[in-house]
Amino acid sequence: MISPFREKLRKALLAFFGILFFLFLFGPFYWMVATSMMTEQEMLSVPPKLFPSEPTLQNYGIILGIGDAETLKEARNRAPAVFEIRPALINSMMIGVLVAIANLLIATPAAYAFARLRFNFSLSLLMIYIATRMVPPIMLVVPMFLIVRTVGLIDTPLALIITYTVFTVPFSIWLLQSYFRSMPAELEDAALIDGCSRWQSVRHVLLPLAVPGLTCVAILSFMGSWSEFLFAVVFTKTTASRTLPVVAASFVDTSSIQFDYVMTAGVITALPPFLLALIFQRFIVGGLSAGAVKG
Amino acid sequence: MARKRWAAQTEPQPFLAFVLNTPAVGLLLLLVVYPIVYSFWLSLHAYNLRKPRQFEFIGLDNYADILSSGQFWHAARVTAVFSVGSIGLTVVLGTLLALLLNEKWPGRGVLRAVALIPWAIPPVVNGLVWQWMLEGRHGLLNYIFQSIGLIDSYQAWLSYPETALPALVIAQVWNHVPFVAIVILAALQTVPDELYDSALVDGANIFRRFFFVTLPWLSHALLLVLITQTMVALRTFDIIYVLTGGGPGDSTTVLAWLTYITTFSYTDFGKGNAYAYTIAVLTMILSVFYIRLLWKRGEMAK
Repeated sequence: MISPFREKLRKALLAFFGILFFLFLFGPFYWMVATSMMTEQEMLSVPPKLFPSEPTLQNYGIILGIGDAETLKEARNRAPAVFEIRPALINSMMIGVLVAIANLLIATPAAYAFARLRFNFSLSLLMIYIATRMVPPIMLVVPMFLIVRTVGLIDTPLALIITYTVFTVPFSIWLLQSYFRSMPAELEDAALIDGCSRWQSVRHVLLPLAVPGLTCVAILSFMGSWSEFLFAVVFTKTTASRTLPVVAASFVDTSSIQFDYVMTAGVITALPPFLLALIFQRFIVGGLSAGAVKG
Repeated sequence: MARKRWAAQTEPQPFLAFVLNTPAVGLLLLLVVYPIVYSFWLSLHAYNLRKPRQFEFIGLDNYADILSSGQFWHAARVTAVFSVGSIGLTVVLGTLLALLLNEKWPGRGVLRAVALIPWAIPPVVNGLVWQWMLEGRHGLLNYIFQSIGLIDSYQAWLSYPETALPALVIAQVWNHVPFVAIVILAALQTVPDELYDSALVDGANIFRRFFFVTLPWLSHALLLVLITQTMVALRTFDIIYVLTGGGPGDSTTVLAWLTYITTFSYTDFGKGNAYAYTIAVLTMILSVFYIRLLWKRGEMAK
């Protein structure tokens, strides 16, 4: 039906646009990774070297405090902020994990109520939860800064943990309640008939079966707090609480930006979300598409 | 009596539901609702952290100040230009990418995997990447543009008002094209083949097929994408912090950035809160408008 010429034209056009999109989407990412593996000299060569001639992990070593004294001293001279990355990495990890745990503890009971109990205004309450996500963060950050300052939590990880929990919990509830709803209640009924208490039916039947949903909630809330910047930059002052995005962004405050270190910091900051996206690719795509296809 | 023991209860259980929701509701009351109210209260005062003693009730003066200042309207204009530009480009490119990924051709798998990369990059890193791409003396983009003859000499793209805003738009688009593509692709995959077949029989060419078959089918997904992208555009902060800091001059000072510097650089919390409220009202108007659009479409579908 379709002539071979038209088929060839179609393929050629697809390939052309495909390559353009590939360069646009992959190029900047590649360039970040490549730069992070270059020496300063190579990074500053004109014309740029598209492939590092001797890829090195030295920049990563410096950031983690590994390397001979000479290199570390030179790094300190070029950009002192380099040594703030390691504490920031620890802060970010700790904050992300605690936010994920807090999400599970707070969202699970609420989601259970929506999925398994009948009560007045349940739909309205769910809508209110979702509506809180529509509030622009820039609007909340101003009063919240004053509140955090008043209670003396400026520059503590705790301030960020609480804030991020507040922002991620509504979506976690929404996600979990729809997950619980999708699970048949008959199994819990069976447990109840066998003499379990409600708590036991949740603990031994519902929760073990809901592990994929719970994992997803934990990961999404971890990712949300890992990348957050606005509140992090406002609430933190020193390495005691600064997260990775804040330290990474602080490199551009100086007059001459050391891009080999910046790109290394960038790769480290992007790594966890990147790996999680890779592992859960199918799931994420499925989840995002579900919203679009319905309705 | 026996009924009471079913997991999915038919009788209302308000007390247990209330208890189970208490932690979440408490947190949100304390850290979303209270700040919103507190913010409004502060916006009615002259309150600068540098002069903490002068906490004076001035009614709506802060709002009057804002609305009569050129700064606000300038920022509003920049926000509008940035939003329209980035949303438009993101949606068009995302749809194109989705169409590309929906066709069968050898490179599809690779492109599909690569397409997810920018989506997973945190906004701050996105800003840093483009800061390096656009750099004036060693930037890759300068090299590429010079090689293909687009420019004669290297340019410091972020140092000129005419190019700083487009640079921000490009960074934003790069970050968000994947999301749009994924959503549109999912919708594309539900288009029934019969529709195309009958269009083919009717002799519709590829463009007619796109505009009269594909596009109407995508309208729901496109609306969804438009809503999320508008919210994202209005919230843009990270890449501005990293790439331009609102400059050069105030050429990239969007409303969110203006609020930020008013509050945290000039420590004017009264005015800052007034800005925050103005943005929130703006967002709310837009949301209502969008929700009504969605609602109307829902009615029609029924």
